[in-house]
Amino acid sequence: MLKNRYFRWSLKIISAVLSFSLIFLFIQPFFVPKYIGGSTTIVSGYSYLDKNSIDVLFLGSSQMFCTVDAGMLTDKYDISSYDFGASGQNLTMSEYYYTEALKTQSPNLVILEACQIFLSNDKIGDDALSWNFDPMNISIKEFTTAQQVCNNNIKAFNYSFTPLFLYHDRWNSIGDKDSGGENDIDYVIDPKKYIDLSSRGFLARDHVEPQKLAFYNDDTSLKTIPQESKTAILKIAEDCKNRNIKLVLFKSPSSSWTKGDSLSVKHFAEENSLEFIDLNEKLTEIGIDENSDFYDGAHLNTNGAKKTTKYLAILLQSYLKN
Amino acid sequence: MSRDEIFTRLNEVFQDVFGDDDITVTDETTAADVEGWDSLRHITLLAAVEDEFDIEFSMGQTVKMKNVGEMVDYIEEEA
Amino acid sequence: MTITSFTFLGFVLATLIVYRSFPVKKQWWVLLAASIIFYLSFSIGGIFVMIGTSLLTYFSGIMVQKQKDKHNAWLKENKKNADKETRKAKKAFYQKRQKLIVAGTVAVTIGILFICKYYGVLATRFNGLFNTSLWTAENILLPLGISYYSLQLIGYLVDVNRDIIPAERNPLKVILYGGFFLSIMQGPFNRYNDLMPQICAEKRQKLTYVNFKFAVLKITGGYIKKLCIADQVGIIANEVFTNYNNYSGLGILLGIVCFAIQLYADFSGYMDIVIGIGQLFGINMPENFRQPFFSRNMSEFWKRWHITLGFWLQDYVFFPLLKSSLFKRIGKSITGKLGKDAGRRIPTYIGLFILWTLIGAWHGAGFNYVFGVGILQFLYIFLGEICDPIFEKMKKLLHINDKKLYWHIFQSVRTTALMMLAWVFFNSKSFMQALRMIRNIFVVPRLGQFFAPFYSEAVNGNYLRNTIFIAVCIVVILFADLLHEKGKSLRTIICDRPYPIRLAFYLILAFTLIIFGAYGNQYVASDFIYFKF
Repeated sequence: MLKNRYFRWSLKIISAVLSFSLIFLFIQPFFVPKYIGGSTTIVSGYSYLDKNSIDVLFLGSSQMFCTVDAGMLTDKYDISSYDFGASGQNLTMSEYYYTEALKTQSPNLVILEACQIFLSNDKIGDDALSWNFDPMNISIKEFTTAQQVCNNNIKAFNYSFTPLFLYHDRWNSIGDKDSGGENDIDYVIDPKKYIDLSSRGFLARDHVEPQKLAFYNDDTSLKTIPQESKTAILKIAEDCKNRNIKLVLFKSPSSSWTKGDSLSVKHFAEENSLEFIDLNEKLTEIGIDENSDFYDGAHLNTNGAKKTTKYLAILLQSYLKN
Repeated sequence: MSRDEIFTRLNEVFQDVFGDDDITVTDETTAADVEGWDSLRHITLLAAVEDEFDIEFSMGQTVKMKNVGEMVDYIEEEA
Repeated sequence: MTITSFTFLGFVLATLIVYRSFPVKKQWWVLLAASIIFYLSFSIGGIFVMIGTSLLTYFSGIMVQKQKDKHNAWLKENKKNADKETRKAKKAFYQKRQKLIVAGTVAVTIGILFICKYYGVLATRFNGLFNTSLWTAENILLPLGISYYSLQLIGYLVDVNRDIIPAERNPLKVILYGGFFLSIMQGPFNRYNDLMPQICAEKRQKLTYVNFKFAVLKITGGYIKKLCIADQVGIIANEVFTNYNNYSGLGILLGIVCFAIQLYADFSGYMDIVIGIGQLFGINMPENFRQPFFSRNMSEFWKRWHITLGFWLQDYVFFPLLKSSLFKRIGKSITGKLGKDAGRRIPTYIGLFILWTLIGAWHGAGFNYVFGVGILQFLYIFLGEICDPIFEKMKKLLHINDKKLYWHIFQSVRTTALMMLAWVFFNSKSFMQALRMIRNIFVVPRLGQFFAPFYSEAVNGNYLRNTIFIAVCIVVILFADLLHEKGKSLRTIICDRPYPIRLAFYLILAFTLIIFGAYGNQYVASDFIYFKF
């Protein structure tokens, strides 16, 4: 009799916990925002690649995936590559993306965008957390990275395991645009139908906004690189060394980047014997036009990206030969 | 004064206060049974009863009294 | 430690475990300790005021009891030989002393309440009007729950004086009564002789599985009311009441409806939470709401809304006022001049007017409170009484059967609409704002604008979505209340069903809270509305 009671009780509790978890896990994906044409599709597209099929991995924030047309590199120059990143990504998160990327691919060359190198973890806003963690698969590494970036255990836990608690109120925004007003936020679970797999993570945008490039001024004041950025880069470097992968720190053309910024990164790279390419030093060779090649202050448009990719292709080919 | 006598006089007071000649109260009658016996009329009623029997209800009795029976008990004791 | 935080839930759970593991006779110690910890989590300075007031009340209670004991001792000795006159004189002698003690204590308690809560606002306004520089009590402490414990303690002392309860011998019990953590924030107003015998009981009901289920469901229901209904529609209500100049016509009306839903869900949700928690401790506290929106008239509404405040005011303000010799004299003189009926009615109305002004003022020092939940309520009830004969005639003329459902619905809608009008004053920053809001209902710049209420960013921009949400909230609240009105509740219906059905119900509740609750990034955690009163 007693045994029977315990049995019935444990059955009740197990069925309650189980049904709660199942429903929770089933409805959760609907609520997580999907930034169609943004990081969601970039991250999802990566998972559709054949295993060990790419040679070059581009990592970093939007400046990376707006600059390098990995689709063009793959199709035209036969350099199989992918832009794997998300908006607002700083280097701590890039290190996490690197780890995730290496789970399915074994590139020979990793190009890491350095534009966020001065951005410390405590400056990361909720938007960037959402863009970077929402589309990723659940993992412990995701949680520890989120912990470092937002310095709040509950928040980190929610971003990595239970995003339903963060986005539960999205029933109240059916049909709305995201905060930037650019992307539809959709309820679909599988964003595959929105992904142009051939673009390989590259985001093409035609809008033109003429710029004044800060790099042409002689502003050589140095900036400090926060410790967490250094740690993240060195971690990637260490791992690349072990795997025999070539790592290149990279800076795409942008209007706010100064000579001082460039010098700061250069010093750090030299100290740690890393390779650093700043394309802002090659603007004339690439043929960047202030008036036609920028989308906004930070990003190139399709024009600029085409020119840069063309220039980069030759550089990459030389790297890959070695 | 007998209990019956008290009830007869009490009925008249009730009929007068609530303006209804059909009211007859018993031991068990409560405020819920008499239409219009709400907190607004409660004190008016008690004042009329006090005048009729020349007694005085204390505040404790005013708030504690549960039914007409208790009221009659007190009248019996005092008058 | 807000009541919607996990800290609070953890605190309740810890208290409950310690409480239930103590011997029954000593369980109230746990509640006292919990109440003090809870109080300290809000204000450290305030607890001295609260305990001070409780101790003052305690000593006054003992003193009143002493006078009573002396009186009784004298009666015992001299009952046979003393004549009626002497007995009366002695009674008056002791009663006068008792009255002095009670009056002094009440004056001090009300004085502290006045200085902490009202004086600052009044002095600032006075300075502004007359260009004086009175002390404005800027940094004065506002002890948590001062308007609640002050009134409860006064009730205790008056009850001792009225012979309803004997004075408490243990000062700690009076402190616990004043600072009981479940009612300190916003009620309900407990009566000493209802609450304390339960807390200090020799025996207590065991926490059975059924009781536990009931209590937890009541608490969950309360949280749903607060987080999923009150705080959600509250966003719209706040927007409309803050930026009322941006809205007109239907926009204002919807804002007002939202506030009514918010206020009810917020306040009664809080009550469900604390009453449910009380049940876990084996303590039954009085219900503060009984389906108020089904009331047929204003008097009935106030017997269903904030019930414990209404009863408190009736027993400790209204009845004593009407029974006072002054009111009796007024009644007599009016009877002489205008007849018996007027002599009975007019003092009642004067009493009502004073009572309602006090209720309004209890909510706050602004004229919007005094008018909206004070004078206006008096006018409703007064006019209802005066016009009653006219209404009766009209009903006969129009062949209205007041037993029919349609008439009940009409009356309830009318009562609710009148209350909504009153709440416009209650929720406005000032009396003038309320008037401007009411004007904005009717003054619509363009005709099309009447129907174009919510296109502003602040309320998430979607008119259709908001309207659907409000409608769903209204349906849910009315459905639950309709069940209660019929003497049933979802809880009792569900608890008898087999486990799979119960589980499904629990899961619906849990996911309602998770999905529709107002928590997280998009929401600013909000206090309960009555917390500030």
